[in-house]
Amino acid sequence: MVGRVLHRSKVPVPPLPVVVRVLVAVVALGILLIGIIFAPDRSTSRSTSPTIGEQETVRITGPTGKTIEAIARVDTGATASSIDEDLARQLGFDLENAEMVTVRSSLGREKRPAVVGVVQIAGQAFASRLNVTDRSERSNPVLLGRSDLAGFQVQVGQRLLTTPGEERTPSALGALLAEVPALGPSELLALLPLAALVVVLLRVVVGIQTLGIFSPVLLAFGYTQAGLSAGLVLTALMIGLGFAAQPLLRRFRLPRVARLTVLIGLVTVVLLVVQELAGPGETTSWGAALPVVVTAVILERLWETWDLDGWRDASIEAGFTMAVAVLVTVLLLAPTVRGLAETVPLPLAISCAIWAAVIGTYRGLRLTELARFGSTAQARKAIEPAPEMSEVR
Amino acid sequence: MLLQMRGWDRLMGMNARNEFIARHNPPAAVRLVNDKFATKAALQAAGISSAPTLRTISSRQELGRLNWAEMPDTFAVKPNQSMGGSGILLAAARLDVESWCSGSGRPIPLLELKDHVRLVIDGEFSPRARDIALFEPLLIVHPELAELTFQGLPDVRVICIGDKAIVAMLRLPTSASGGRANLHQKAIGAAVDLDTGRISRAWLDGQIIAEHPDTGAPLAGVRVPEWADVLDLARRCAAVTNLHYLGADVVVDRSRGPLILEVNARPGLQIQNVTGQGLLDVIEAEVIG
Repeated sequence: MVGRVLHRSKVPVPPLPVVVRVLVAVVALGILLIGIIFAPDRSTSRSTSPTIGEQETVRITGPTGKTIEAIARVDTGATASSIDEDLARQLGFDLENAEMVTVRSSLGREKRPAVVGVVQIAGQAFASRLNVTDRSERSNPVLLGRSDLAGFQVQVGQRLLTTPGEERTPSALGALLAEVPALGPSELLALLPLAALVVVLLRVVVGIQTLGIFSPVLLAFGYTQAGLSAGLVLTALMIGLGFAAQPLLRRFRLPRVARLTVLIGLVTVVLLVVQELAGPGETTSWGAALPVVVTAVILERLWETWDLDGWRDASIEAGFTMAVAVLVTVLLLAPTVRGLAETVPLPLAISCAIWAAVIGTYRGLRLTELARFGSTAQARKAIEPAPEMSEVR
Repeated sequence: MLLQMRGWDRLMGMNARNEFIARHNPPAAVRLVNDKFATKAALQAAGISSAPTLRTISSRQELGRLNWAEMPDTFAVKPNQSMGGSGILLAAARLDVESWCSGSGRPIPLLELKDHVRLVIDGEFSPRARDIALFEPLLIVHPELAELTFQGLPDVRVICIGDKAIVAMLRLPTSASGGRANLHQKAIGAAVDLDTGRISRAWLDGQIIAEHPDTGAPLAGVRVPEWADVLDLARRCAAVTNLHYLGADVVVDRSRGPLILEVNARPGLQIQNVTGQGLLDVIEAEVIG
């Protein structure tokens, strides 16, 4: 019986040789390169007419020289530009003695104060007449209308394409901290395989364990929509609640499914209350819902890990999950990546999917395992036969 | 550089293990061994001894109908599909008609027993939302190994490829592990020589140790009782379960002798640290040869 192995079912498939995997990865690279080379040139006239999106960061300077940065809504359907009352006061505008203009809006005709401030957008600066109104219920404190948009091309469906000082796209961190959805749904879809590739790399090669293999990707999608600070606070809040709720709900002997339902209900109520207090805004609703749903999935895994390995391991994995989510978010918002997603969405998705699959077949040791098996490897090196002797065997 | 990497290449990591299992263990076989009750039925049909089942409880009605006075003086409650040995409750001695005490002497009220069975049925310890509670007789450590354990049941993990045993370790509970034979929870792993059945080295939490931290008994050279039968039981599991790469957990009970406790389709990698030998060393020889 020595050496003979009993195996009634089908003959085991031999592992894919390295050559095949390298070839597949190169083919995927080729797909992406071909896509880039043959991508239609989407950029229109450059420095003469900068392209801006539906929402852009602007800088407004008041009469005292004070400058404030804000996200402006670009609205080619509006005749004139307007600014929020509070913001105008912060900039030092004197609203009591300002000239009054009649403005025709969706609310009818009304008289509003008008001020003149210097507006900086996409590397251009100009004086703009802004009428002042209460925009605290709107999503943006500043609105730019046709009177100020003459020199620009507006790209509908895009946001945050520029920074006030120049025409460059904001860095990933800039886009994150702007707290405005920087990625549309189709861009997100195109970037999904890239996010998966990063996660697979971190798990299979580095050995980072997260609560749920792809939950950092879903969290990251939520963060690109809701903004980083809002998203992180939400996730931390839910994980904290999850840790606290476990012993409490256990005492009531609620089964697992009921525990999860109570938790989701709790967090939803908290979210609704926060939304009421903060005021309406399109970013909070859909963007906030996604991290909540994903975190519910994560909490299941959190409780499982806590049961099996203790609360220390569970909190470490929770921390790693959030860290990987942040990493993926920053990557998705990097200008190069956004550019790729815009110009070659399909080849990018295909290539990343293929690469993720190839990396998934990696059979070597993970980086974290080098520590785990370190002493054993050292001990084995000490008793390893010299190369010449092993051939004699 | 080549010399520096040589110590590593024979070590099996999670990636290699997952890939190996995906190629060699059929999914139906993995599902079978996740179900302890079905595994025991298959083993018993093939004449392989395993821990007998006294009763199963799968619903609240059955729990309500259970006559606790008829239960034996000692028993164990186990979830059928538990992960990592969680959810096991041991009734070590009978105090009254319907009350028992645990291994450490703590009395277990009947309400707690019923609650535990309810938790098991509600899938608290299993990946699914429902599970079955198995009642088994309480297994007692063999007298020859009694000095090497603290309040628990040691078991032998034998890794097999098909019908050939390739490496084995004895897992010894400690006070730190709460009487559980789980290396991750600080039980001792003792490498067992396949030919003689004697402990060659003992490993605890990253250190090689010479004696049990709680009982002080020396570990090296101790022989696992009825070793030939232990190996024989482990070797026959592959044919019964149709798994090609498996870890068989065998206990040596005081009165019943060697018994299969459970069969694992995804045996852990810590055994490499215990034996000081990489698994790829032995496995590759098997697959190629």
